Amino acid sequence: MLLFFEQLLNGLQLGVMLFLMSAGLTLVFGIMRVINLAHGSLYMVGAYLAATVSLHSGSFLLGLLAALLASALVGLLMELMVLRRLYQRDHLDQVLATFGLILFFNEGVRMIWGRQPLFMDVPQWLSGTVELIPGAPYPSYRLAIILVGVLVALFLYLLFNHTRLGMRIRAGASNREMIAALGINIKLLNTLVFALGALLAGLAGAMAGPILAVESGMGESILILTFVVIVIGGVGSIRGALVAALLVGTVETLGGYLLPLLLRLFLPLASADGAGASLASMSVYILMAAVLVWRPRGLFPAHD
Amino acid sequence: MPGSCVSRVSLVAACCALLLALLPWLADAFGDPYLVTLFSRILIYALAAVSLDLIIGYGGMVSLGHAAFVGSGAYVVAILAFHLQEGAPLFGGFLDIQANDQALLVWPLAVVISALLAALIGAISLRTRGMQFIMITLAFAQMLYYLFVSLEGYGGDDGISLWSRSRLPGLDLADNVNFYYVCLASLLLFLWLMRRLVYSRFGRVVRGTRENQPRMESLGFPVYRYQLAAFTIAGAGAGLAGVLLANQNEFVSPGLLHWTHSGELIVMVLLGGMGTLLGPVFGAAALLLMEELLSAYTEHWMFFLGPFLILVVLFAKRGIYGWICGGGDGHG
Amino acid sequence: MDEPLLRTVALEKRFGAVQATSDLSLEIAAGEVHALIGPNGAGKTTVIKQLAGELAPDSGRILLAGEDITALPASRRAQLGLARSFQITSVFEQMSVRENLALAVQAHKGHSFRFWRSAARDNALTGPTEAALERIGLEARSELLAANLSYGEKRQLEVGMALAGEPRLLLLDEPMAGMGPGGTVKMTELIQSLKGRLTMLLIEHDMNAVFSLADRITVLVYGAALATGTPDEIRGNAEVRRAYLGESE
Ligand SMILES: Nc1ncnc2c1ncn2[C@@H]1O[C@H](COP(=O)(O)OP(=O)(O)O)[C@@H](O)[C@H]1O
Ligand SMILES: [Mg+2]
Repeated sequence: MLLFFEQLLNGLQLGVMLFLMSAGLTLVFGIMRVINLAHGSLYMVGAYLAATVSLHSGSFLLGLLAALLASALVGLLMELMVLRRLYQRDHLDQVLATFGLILFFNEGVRMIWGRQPLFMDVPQWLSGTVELIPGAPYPSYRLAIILVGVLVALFLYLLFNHTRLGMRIRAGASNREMIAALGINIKLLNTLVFALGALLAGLAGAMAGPILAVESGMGESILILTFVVIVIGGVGSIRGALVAALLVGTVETLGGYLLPLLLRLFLPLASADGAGASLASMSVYILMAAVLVWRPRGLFPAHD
Repeated sequence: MPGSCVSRVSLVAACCALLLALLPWLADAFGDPYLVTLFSRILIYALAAVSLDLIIGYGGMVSLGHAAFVGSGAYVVAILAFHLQEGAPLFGGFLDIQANDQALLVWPLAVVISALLAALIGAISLRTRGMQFIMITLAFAQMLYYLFVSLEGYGGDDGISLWSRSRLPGLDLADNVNFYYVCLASLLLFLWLMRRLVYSRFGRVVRGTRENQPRMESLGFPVYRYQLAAFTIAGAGAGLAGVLLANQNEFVSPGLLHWTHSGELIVMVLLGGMGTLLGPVFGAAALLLMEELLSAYTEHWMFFLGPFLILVVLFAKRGIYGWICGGGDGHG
Repeated sequence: MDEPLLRTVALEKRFGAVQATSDLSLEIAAGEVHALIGPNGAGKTTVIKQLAGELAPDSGRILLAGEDITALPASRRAQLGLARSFQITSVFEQMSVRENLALAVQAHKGHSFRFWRSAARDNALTGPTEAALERIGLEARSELLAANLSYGEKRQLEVGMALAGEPRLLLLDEPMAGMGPGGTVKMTELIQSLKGRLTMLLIEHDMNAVFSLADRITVLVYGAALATGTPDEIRGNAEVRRAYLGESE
């Protein structure tokens, strides 16, 4: 039971990461109608910068700051140099060009930092554990990630519901023509949204640094889960991204833990664990398929 | 399509076909038997790229998960061979494993299984369009990737090594030159089939749907089933490529299904010129040869390939086919 | 009275705050040309979309020859003999004029799960395709890509495709919109020549065309039917004059 609770928190923490990744990306999809495969590269840039700077300065916060700045900057350049030229193109061109970006970034990172993964330490002041439930210590660092996720969600909620800029962005995500009709500077808005998405991806990458190996290609494994989140949540919907991210995070984490246990009831131990592992690796995608059969446009579609 | 384009492409294609037919002799003359292996690989990837062209170029369905069907075809070959090698019964001994290396049995089975898998994935994915479709095909392919990684019994991450290629009565596939010709024949056969298909009634419906789906529906076509059929046929083609690839490498691992391979197949289609069938063959050759050449100079060749792709997208939309065509319209 | 070919019962459709279709009960008798007129934004296209199956009504029913088709997808309705042309030209630009028409013919002649035989040499298709070409007078342009047609020719092709399937009911959404006077005359002649053989629901802003072609007219205002009657009745209807004709003429 305690283990279950811990797994649940892990699921929540993965969900938060996925939310940070998908919130920005779903807006980019919704407003610019551009499919950006290179969103994971921004996550990777964030992780590498955080790892490097915190290693050399000894300060996690400095690393975090560097990661945020770098990913926002890289995102900005990406938008200005490549993506901006793709808005009017079809999705196939977008896929190919952003695939090119991924190759560029993944190999670039290998050229700078080498093929060996970097490892990043949890900051001293977060290295302890907290007992949310007596007898079940949970790493403070992971709790902190969850907390950051809650804060970001709150920030986005306030941005999109209580500021003029945010409401315009939201209007754009559900109706692109509306933005033009309102006489908003679309180019600027696109760049802003893109940079915001890049910033959030960088934040996710920096926070993932101490949990995962920082290596070339790390962006793509989370990118694909991010896509699953966006598809389930509905393209263009922040609320959908939040709900789906938590759902996917929990299913992904709990699946690996619960399915083998469940199968042990029917199967011999070894095959139960084998089949459980296989099923767990597919559970998120099965969830996605189920949602799509039920609602082809996701849980909270933003467009008509 | 202007006549000069057709004749120019036919000329180039005929020259290429001649070169390909003579390649084993050329390799011999150059004293470089590796060329035969390299070109077998090119032919196999060309086959996969042509099958992808059917759904991307003619059907407008941008699938970013095509490698899954290449992988499934390869894994059927490998898993059957694995049971033969280990003497492990399959389905509780229900099936006779002694025939597990017979090409005439295994290859069609692998193709059918890939097609069925494509039908299943397509049936769900085709409920969506546009961006969602891209993301979903990608996700399902990745699901299969993780599935094979988790199958410890079949080598998990490390994959399966085959002891030998499949057996074909009357032809020794262990011989690289023989195998090369099997690959060449498969590609030519598949190209011919696709050519007929694209200009059949069915192909016309698929092409029309790419251009204007609402209109197709208002004309009375239930487009979903035609798209699904096209998706399934493409899956079968990719499965055949997977079968050949497993035999070529005598090794199969989940890496085959990795999404970057799907990306590479798209690159081949676009680089060569989509919606042209022959284009993806040129594209596959160009990409693999470029890899081969660049990697001789630098291990970081992808660093240069990436921006090159972006430039292709921005400035050379019609691909090699369009370039051969000259001023004409590259669309078939 | 006979069952009309098409009947809608209390059709309703809202887009947010906009009531696009309001308690609409239309009856289109077999063989008649029924015009649907009304100011821009009255909801005419929305009616056609619901009839064709592109939009689901919020409530109400649609019956084709007495059969409830409300829940059928667009392709099924087309197979039952419902064809439509689009207000915004919707042809296959990358196909030749002939192939556009052949595709429309193909939808109704045998199935399309034929993978091998060349469609261009399919005898079951070529005859009706040539006839369709002739009907819209584009024989000389048949090999041209539809993208290269003039606007008026595209409109003709648009209607020609709807006709090619030999439908029972033709829904025409502003077939003359944007055409020059020459095109309008041609199109009027085409529709006139079909009159009596085909049932039509015609949306059109050109009042001369409407009053010369239609057997009956329904006036739509804010999604609701204001009046239905013969051209003379509509012309004489004071309410219609006030709400629509008066301001647009
Ligand atoms: N998809 C839609 N979403 C929201 N509003 C719509 C949509 N389609 C039409 N409308 C609105 O419904 C009303 C009727 O539109 P329409 O049927 O196109 O009118 P008409 O064809 O008579 O000019 C208009 O106010 C239009 O803005
Ligand atoms: Mg209209």
